[in-house]
Amino acid sequence: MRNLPWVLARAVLVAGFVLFISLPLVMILLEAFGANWFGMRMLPAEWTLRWFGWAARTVDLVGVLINTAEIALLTTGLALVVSLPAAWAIARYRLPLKPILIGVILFPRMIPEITFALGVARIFYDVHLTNTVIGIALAHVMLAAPFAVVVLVSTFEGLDSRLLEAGTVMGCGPLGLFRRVTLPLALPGIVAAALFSFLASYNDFVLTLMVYGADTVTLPVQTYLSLGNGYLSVAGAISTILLVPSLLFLVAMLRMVRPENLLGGLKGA
Amino acid sequence: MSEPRLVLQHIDKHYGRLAVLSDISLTVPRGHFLSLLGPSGCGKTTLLRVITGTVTPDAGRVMVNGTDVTRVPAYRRNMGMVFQSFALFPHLTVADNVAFPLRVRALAREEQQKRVIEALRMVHLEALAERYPRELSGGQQQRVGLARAIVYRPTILLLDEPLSNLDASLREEMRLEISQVTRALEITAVYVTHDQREALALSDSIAVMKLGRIVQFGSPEAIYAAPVNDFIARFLGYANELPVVVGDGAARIEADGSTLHIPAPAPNGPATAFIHANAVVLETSGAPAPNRLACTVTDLAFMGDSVEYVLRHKAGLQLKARVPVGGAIHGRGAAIWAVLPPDKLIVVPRDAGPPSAG
Amino acid sequence: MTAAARRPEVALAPAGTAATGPPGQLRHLLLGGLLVCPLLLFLAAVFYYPLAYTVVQSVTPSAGGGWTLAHYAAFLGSREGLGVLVLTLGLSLAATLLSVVLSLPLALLLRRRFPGRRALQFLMMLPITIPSLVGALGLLILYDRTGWLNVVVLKLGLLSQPLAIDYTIPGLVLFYVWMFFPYGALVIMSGLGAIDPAVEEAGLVMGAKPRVVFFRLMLPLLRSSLWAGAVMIFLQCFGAFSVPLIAGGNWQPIGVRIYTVANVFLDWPQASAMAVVMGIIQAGLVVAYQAIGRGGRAA
Repeated sequence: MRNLPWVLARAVLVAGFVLFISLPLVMILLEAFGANWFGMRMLPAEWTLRWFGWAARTVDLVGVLINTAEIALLTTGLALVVSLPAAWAIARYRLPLKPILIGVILFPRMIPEITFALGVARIFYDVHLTNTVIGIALAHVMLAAPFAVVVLVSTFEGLDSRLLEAGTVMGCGPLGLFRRVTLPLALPGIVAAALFSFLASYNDFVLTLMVYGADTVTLPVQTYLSLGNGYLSVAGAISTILLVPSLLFLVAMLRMVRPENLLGGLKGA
Repeated sequence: MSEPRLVLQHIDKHYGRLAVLSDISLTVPRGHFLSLLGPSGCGKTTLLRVITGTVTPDAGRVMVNGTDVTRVPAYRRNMGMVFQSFALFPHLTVADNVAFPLRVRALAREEQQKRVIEALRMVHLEALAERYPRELSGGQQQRVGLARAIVYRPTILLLDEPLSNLDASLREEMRLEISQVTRALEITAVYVTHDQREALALSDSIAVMKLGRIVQFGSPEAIYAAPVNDFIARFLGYANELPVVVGDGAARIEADGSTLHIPAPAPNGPATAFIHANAVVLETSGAPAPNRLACTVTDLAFMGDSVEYVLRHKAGLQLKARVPVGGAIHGRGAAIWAVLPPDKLIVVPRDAGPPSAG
Repeated sequence: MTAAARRPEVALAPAGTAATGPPGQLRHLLLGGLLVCPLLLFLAAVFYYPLAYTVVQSVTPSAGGGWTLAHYAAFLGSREGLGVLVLTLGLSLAATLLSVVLSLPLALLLRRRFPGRRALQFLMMLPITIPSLVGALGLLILYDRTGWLNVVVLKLGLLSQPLAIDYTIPGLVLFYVWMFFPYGALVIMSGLGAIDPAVEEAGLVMGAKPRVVFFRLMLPLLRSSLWAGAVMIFLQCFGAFSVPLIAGGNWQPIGVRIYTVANVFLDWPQASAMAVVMGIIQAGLVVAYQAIGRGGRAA
């Protein structure tokens, strides 16, 4: 469509869309890196990093960051440990009632987080798992594992059997085959599953909100707490740190995958 | 006299109720090139995998150099395999792909490099050693596959329809390459294909398979000249078939009862007479000749170096004749004589049971 | 772990063993079962058990023993309870409609290649990749009485009073749209991509104007994607928590309400009943989504 009105309209729509999506994030940055931003000002009066220092001192931002990272890493490790064998079995073995099995594994992502967070909170409280890194990580694994399984099943199903056959004929025993052929070929998928798991834990709010304690505050929870106490700038600063992994992940994903193909599993709120 | 390289004895394989291989027995001498020829589903690929060991037969024995290897797992049999889909490892360069079996055998670095270059040179690909498979064309990938399969001097080289995934123009080139390499290495080879031209061109002997059995075994010339049943004849590309009945040394065309002169005595009973399209002689003049049939041209197609005619006999038979370009062209609807020289005919009993080979 | 040579006719087997016959298949089954066990046990302990606990809690009376449906009745039978449901469903419905209206032109726009297309795709994915808490915070600031939108609106003289968006229902709908429309957009884009381009071409060649081609040929083919996308968005809106928690003010859709009832009123059984209802509705939506997906593919 070469006529000017259409082109103009399209440009306006695109510009409007870009603003619509990106402005809220711009606000976060302004809040985090600006001072004296109130009233009808468009921009803060000064730029500063003091909120981060403030957060480090008053709400132990470093400690919170370490908590979040620790829990996320632990979640990733645990999620992979349980998901790798399960995904291998689902992808390459003939198991009975496979659709039901897969449904059972994906179910945690089909119902709202708050619904099972209630039960988890009570039970963890009773077994003294609340306010522990391991406890929160265990809870996060149930959010991460479905993602990991979906990605890994797809990866393992995609392994070309003929490559495995070639490896065998050329002399690889079972262990050697796994080491030299299966693992390298599956590595991108395993890395993706690990990233998904990490992100699911790092970003999680609802479940963590129900099982956290004074020693195990995570970045999302701290953002909420700071906001509740009225410390908007601190909340903004913490949010910027929260944003980093997600943005990196998004860039990496878009480099490799077409967006339409991304909706493999179901994401929670 | 040395041991045959490969002996298969009474191999059976079932998948559920389906008998994929039934009583297969074969002997392959050293340095021999054997083709397993047949349509899809005949079991040739399964048989190949019985040889490599990725499929275990339900009955029978696989003997390599006189040793029973039936229970030996695939990774210990030291065989080489070239795949239809190339099966190159995408995460390794060409050189690393070819070096892979040498690494698995923990060969010394320098020896590895030497052999890899040697193998790549054999397939004329030394220049592409550092590329990745995805950067290569299909033909190049297959040559890498070939290099990888021979670099560790396997006992037997197996090829699973290696030319099927290549463009038609590349196939002949690749076929020559395979022929040259296997001959230069004097390696025993088993080649699976559904293309009879490949089998005829490459092999020392051919085993024609159908539904899990070997229906004919012999040299390419022998099989081509004397297929034992109509299935094989059709498979070998005999374009014309006439149902006949043989009685007392003479054959009658079923359609109209006229006599068909055949080259040699044939068993009595229903049979099929085959003749190649390019053996049919077309004449416009009326000099009588044996097996001269009156036909009309119903269609013709220009094939480049020849013209293929579709002819219709008055009794309803359809014949195909392929004539080199240069002679007179006969138009649609033209009346013409089709002569079937008796020495070019073969007569095969219909519904003949498949004799086994080997 | 052993390698498996995949044969179309036979159950996958470790190389070198016969997979046919009862002994081979049984061993296969045991191995497979063993591999899946850790995950299943884990889910049973950390997910299904707490879930069962919640269901049990929802039918436990506040005092005494036995079973009761009083909590469900209190929720579904009371004005407040129904109000919560109506609020949640209403918000979700409004946001879904607007999201679909936004997604369709967007999906069409992103079909052809043009400079900046990648960037637009990146942008479109933003709301669902970042933690919803952060997105909600940004939205709060942007649409505040002294936020950019109001500054611009007032400076341009379009209004004399700032718009109240934060903590209002229309505001929540807007926020939901921002947060969740990409889910639908992705589904619709995928559906759009699945339409054979030859269909459009055939229509044009046969003389139909582009508008006719769109409404008569493409839209019907997109129908199942549109429905699937709508259900997906609705699902996310229904389950929203962070957004209404932070930006809903006094309006509490069901997720937030459950949290309040549990943590502030400490009425765990009541909260459990609400959670079960919410869970059933959401699970139902998921089933609907998958059913549409299957039906769409069959078409």
